[in-house]
Amino acid sequence: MQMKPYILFALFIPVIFSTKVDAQCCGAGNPLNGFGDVSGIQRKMLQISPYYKYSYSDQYYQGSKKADVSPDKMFYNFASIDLAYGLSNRMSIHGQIGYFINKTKLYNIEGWSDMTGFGLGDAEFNLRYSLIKNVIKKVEVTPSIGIKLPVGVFDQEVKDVKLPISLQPSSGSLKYNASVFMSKRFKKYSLSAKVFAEYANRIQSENFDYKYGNLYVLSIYGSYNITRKLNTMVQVQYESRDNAKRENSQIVASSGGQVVYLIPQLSYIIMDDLAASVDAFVPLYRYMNGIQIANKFSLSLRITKSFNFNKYTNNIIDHDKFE
Amino acid sequence: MKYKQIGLLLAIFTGFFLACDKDDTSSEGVGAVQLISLTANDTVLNAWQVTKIFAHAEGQSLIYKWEADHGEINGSGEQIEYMAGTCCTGTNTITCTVSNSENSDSKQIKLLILPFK
Repeated sequence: MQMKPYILFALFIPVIFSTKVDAQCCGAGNPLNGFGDVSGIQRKMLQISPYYKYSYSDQYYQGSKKADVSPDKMFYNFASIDLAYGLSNRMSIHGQIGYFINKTKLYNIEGWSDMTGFGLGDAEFNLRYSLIKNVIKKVEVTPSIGIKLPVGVFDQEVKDVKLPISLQPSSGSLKYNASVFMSKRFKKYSLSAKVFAEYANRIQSENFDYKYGNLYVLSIYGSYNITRKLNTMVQVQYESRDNAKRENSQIVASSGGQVVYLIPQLSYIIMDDLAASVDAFVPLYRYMNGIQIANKFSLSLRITKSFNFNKYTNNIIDHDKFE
Repeated sequence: MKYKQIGLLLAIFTGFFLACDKDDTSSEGVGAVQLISLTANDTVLNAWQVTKIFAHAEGQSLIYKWEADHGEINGSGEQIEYMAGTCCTGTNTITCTVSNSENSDSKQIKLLILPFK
């Protein structure tokens, strides 16, 4: 059985065009999710990864210190389906479609009711090419380019009142990203790093004019094989976001900042073609421009099912990676 | 075979046109809508300070829709509460659209949000 690349595109097309994009204002859209397996995959291999993330934020920060305000708390339950297909042994295409099960704000203001948004988030596509893939030295360098499309809900109303931007499931903005992933494997462990940058287009409509700040991420990973099936990874992720801008290029003072996360991960190979992983996102350091709410913690679960359509190889999981 | 497919496409398109045809009889006699005024208790606020906004409209079977380019709205109907956090300082626009099944009218009000104090 052969899976042609255009079939993958065709699978995503109805999703892209099934909802209209009514840019009105700004929500964060799909969260950064650690990108799953950031290296490329083999030719004619298909990976399907259902992903779930829970995030909770209850503390406002001013710079790196806790601010003495608590007007609200926020949490969300996010799910996505991630697909990856190996176009060749070096090139792969990755896609993600996200859905917010709920995105809720709990107000500490007398008389204010809680608000919840939900629905389709953004769709993301990435093309990855393994520039260096040295099997003997176990070194890999994989640059990637991507696009995030605001296909989801950005004009949600509750009782005829439009929800604030922060509760809209989609970001409402077309975003471009580029990254480079580097990895060196040893016998039982590996070291990896990834640099990532994202640029967001300005959103302009009749009532709204906004541009998200650029996002830069640096991740350093250390991975260790406890057993042949059980793997543990610790990631330190530094995120820096520039200030956003509103109409007439006014800088939004309380936007952007820097966060350092510690992300421990545990992954388990259930079967040759099936793996599961859990991640915890623990902020170690936060610096918020102005006064902003900051994430307290997040948890995520990913299940990865692989299909090999290459008739010459039967190995689904790259065992070399875990040895 | 080709004619069959063309016939099927024509039938689908005809179905769409018929389905989208507006039923005018259901909204007869609802009449004109006029949004006379949109006022706020305060037009200059600090971040997270709450103010009330009132819409005064004339017409039958009115539905009030509210939207803010920045900031948050609580409540519904002809009176709502508005607040903007530190994310949304500057001049913000709140739009109210009043409608019934035949007509609609809308107005905007601008509020200045100063930094948190």
